Amino acid sequence: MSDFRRSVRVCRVILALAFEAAKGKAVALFLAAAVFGMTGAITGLVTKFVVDAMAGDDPGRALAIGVLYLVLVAAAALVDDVAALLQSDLGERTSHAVEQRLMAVSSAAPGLEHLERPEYADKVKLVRDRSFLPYFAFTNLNGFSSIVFGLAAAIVLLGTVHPLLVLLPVIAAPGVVLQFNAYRAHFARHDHTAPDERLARHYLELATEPAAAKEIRLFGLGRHLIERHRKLTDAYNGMLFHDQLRRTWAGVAAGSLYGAGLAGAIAFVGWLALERRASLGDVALVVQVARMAVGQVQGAARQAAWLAELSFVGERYLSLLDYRPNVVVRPPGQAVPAPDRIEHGIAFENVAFTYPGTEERVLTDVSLFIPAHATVALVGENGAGKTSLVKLLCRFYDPDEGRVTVDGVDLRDLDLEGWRARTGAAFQDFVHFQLVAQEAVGVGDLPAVDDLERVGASARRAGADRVIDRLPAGLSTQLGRWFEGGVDLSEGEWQRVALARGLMRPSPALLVLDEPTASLDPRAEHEVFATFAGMARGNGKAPVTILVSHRFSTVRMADMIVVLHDGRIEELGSHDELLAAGGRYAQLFRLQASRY
Amino acid sequence: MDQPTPREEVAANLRGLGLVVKSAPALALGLLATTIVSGGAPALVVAGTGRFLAELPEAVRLGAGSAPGRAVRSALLLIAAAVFVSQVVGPVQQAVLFGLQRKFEAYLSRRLMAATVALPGLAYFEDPEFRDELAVAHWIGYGPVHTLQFATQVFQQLSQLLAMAAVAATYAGWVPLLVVASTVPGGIASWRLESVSGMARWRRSEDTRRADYYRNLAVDREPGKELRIFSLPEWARGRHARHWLAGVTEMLALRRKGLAAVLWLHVVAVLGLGFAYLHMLRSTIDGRTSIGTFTAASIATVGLSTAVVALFREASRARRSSFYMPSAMRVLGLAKADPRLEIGGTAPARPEQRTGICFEGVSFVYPGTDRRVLDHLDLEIEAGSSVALVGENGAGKTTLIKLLCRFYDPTEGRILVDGVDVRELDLDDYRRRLAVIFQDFVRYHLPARDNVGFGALDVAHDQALRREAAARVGVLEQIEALPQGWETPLAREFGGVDLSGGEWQRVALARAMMAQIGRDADLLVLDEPTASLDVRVENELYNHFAELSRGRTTLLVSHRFSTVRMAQRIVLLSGGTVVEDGSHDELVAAGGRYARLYEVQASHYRLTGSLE
Repeated sequence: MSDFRRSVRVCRVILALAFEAAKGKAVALFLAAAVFGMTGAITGLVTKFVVDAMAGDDPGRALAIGVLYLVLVAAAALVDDVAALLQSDLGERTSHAVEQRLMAVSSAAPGLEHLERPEYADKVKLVRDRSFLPYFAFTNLNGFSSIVFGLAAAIVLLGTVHPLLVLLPVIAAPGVVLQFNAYRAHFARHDHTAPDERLARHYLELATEPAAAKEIRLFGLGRHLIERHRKLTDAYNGMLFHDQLRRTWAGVAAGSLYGAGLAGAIAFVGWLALERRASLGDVALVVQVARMAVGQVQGAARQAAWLAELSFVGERYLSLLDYRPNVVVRPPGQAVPAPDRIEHGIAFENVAFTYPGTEERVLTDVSLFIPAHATVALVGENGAGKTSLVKLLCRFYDPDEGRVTVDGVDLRDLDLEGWRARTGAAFQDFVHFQLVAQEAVGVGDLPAVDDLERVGASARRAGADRVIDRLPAGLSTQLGRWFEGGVDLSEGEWQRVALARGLMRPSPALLVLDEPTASLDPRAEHEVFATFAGMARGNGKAPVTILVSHRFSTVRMADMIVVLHDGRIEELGSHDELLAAGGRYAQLFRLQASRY
Repeated sequence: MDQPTPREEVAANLRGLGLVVKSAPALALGLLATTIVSGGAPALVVAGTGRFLAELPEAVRLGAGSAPGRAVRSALLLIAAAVFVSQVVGPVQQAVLFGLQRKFEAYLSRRLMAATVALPGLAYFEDPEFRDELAVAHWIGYGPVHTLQFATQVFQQLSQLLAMAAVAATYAGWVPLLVVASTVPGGIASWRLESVSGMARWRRSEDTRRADYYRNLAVDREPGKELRIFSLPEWARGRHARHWLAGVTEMLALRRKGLAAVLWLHVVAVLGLGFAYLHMLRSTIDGRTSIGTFTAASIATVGLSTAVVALFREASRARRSSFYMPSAMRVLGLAKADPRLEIGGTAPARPEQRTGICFEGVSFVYPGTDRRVLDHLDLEIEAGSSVALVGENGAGKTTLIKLLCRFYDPTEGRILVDGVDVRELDLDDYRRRLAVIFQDFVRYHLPARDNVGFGALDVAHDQALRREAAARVGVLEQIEALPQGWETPLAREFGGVDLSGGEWQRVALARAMMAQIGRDADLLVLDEPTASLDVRVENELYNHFAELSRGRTTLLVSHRFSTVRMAQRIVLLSGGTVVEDGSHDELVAAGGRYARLYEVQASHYRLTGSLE
């Protein structure tokens, strides 16, 4: 697509947001702007008529025009007030619409790849921090229409006085181009300093946010970080400033042209009047309209600069909209409905996987069959591929080679929403939801978030009931310290809440526990496993349970243990079988057991 | 945050302006100079135009060579010169303003950093009000410069306004007075409307923050997995919309309601203007005023009315960030004024005689809560010995460590280090004796060099020391195998690599080792140092532990008994106090809670007879 067509698309998409947010208001404002652009020309014209009427000794006409003029001034003032109100309203709504769209775009992608790409995250941040931009784009457009109508009117009026005066806006045109180019170069330079600005931001966050507060104090890093921040920002700010100064000449040159044009026009019409080739009214007209026209041409340069920033952010917004997730959901009707219960089992068939944007293969030729109702433990050293396997099973990514099947159906053909609705999960890097306790547990099964009994039961099963009982307002207590009245939990307590959330699904087909007990104390851990053991054995409804853990006390409870090494399955079997085999599992188990 | 009084608001804004000047004095001076030079120019254009229009009819009648003709020429020259000056100085002023803006933002960031890191303890971070104010101070960056920009504009507009008033007064002195007097009430009303509706938004800032929270849940990386697995996107969007609406409804309603009053007052303004205009027109028709004077004065009169409205509009805009200044300034003023943690102890932190650490009847309640996390806890740790703290979640283990680092002071009781109350020790010196890995250690998005070197900043440049620290916890090979070795940023977003949980933990351990070696820290504190480590790495650590902790007083917190047993002595905490204390064998023999907890885990390793 050509640059131009893409820019047009940027404008269209962004303006569409403003119009979607509040159509009636947007249209009203657009019309008001067009009319407003011409008020300057009208004022000039009225002054001319009044002056000429008086010079021609026609007082009645002068008075009538004067009164009409005042009515127009009053109307313009009122329209202006209403427009200001509409504008602030539209601004709020548009920036809200942008955020909503951003949320929809980002969270509609079923996979995680985009979130783990730094470029994507950068773009999201940029658009998020400038969610007011489409609104500006809209006012920008209004400004443009104002200018276009205003300039057109001005050119016509100036032309009626003398054809040469039509050239006035033209003289100023090179200035517009000069300034537009200067602004563009400025934004390009800005793009260049973005990584350093991000680093400066990281220093600021390290020093001021609670996350690093302990280490900053203990290691005495504060002064040092401030010094680094200073060096870094001085360097890029100095560069940007000098850049800006160097470009001032463009502004000065443009300004000189505007000034020359304006003074020249006034002098010219003065001369015409002295030569009796223009009336006094013409002079009054030119003095007012010429100033307005020059102002508007300058305004056009500013608007063009805005356009440069708009296309800078708009480009990024557009590429977010254009992002095509590599995990593709089957259209409704074509997907195989997810099973309520796994009848046969889950199979990995020659699966290979490399994270997008990286080189290293994290899973190689993995084939594995997990029978229905089984509990499987994944074991291996850091980086062996355990978590990647889990991510494929949740379909956060699709494998590069091979396939994952559920009862023989490729996961890619399965209705994803349905599959996830039958999956319960707790992850190592769980979310510290800053919600009231009931919701922090209940969102694990959204339809049941208000079901106190279900929430309570899940909390009990995860041992989170003791955490909740200690809270000042029980289940209604706001968790976390982000919001008013929030109560912060210890890491282990947060983890129990996350576990409870993972257990909310009423009868899951799949339960994923990715190191869910790392911060739990032994008793809690024991309870949790007793619960799972109970679930697994209870009846024919038990889900397939996938467990990732470094604790062999946990691992050995599984029906089947999968030992991963360097992205391959190295060993497979029950605890007793693997111990007897004397391989890596036996080694690792003995290593840990020897401490007891 | 309380609503600021007008006086506080003015004072804070003045301080803000002071900071702008301080951030870049030369640029501030440049701004002042350009403002003075260019500020008068628009006024001169107005005055020149007025004179030009007033004299032109006579010049036309008498010819270009007459006195009015010469006046017209000099007026034209004045206009040309003034336009030229303002057009040339304008871009320079823009550049200066840009530089000032950037410099100030960076300066404000540093002041914020300085104010926060100067707080010796952590109590402030528990305080929601402080967090709110900090958040405000983060984004206020544009505020003071906007105010300054407004001030420069006001200067220009006022001078232009005065010139217009002067030209209008050539008809009659009462004209500008009437026009201004009839326009001001409407201006004040729209200014007040902006303030009142702005306040309404301020009152609902909690809702706005919540809306942001839900937005971030949907777009950030960290919640991505749970958001998808639990099908939360629609829910998050709904919450976002709800809180956004709650945040702006009152403000928008107030604006709508206030509009009528503003409209009426603007009608009053037009009536004032109309009276003056028609008066001029009448008088000119009657021949009492010349056409030249009419043209000049009537244009100036209409311009005056428009300029007054514009001035008030600018002022309303400047008001938007101005409410927030008091909060931002309060954060900057906090430095070293933490009443909950008094510093100023002078006792040397490294005495000859090292006797160890002693908690005496220590109780602790987190600020803003009422649960006793520690309850009359007594604990003695001999110099050079190692102690493991165990206990259930919430038993107070991490809190005890935070008190030992003196991030908080005990609510009751005291902590002695080598016989001296920690409150009396020189805090900086004392902290240099500590080598700590926290459970929630920091993942610096900086090169590996910094991630390890930060443990001992003074000697961070010493490659040999860094290598030794990394080698001690078995992460040296991994670091040196990174694409750019020690210079590799540990974050993909900075052109480096992302580490796994276990790798991060070892890097953080290496940092603690760096403190131990580079700062000669003899108090070693390890809070869950093995939570993310695999068995093999944990085992290596176990094997090296004796060496790592030799001659150091060591405090270890862990849920893994395999890790706990590294320590010589084990202390079981429950309900914020010590309930069992002894060696592993003693505690197991005693058959108490520790024995039961241990048994729960150990049984899993013994059930089969296949172990030798």
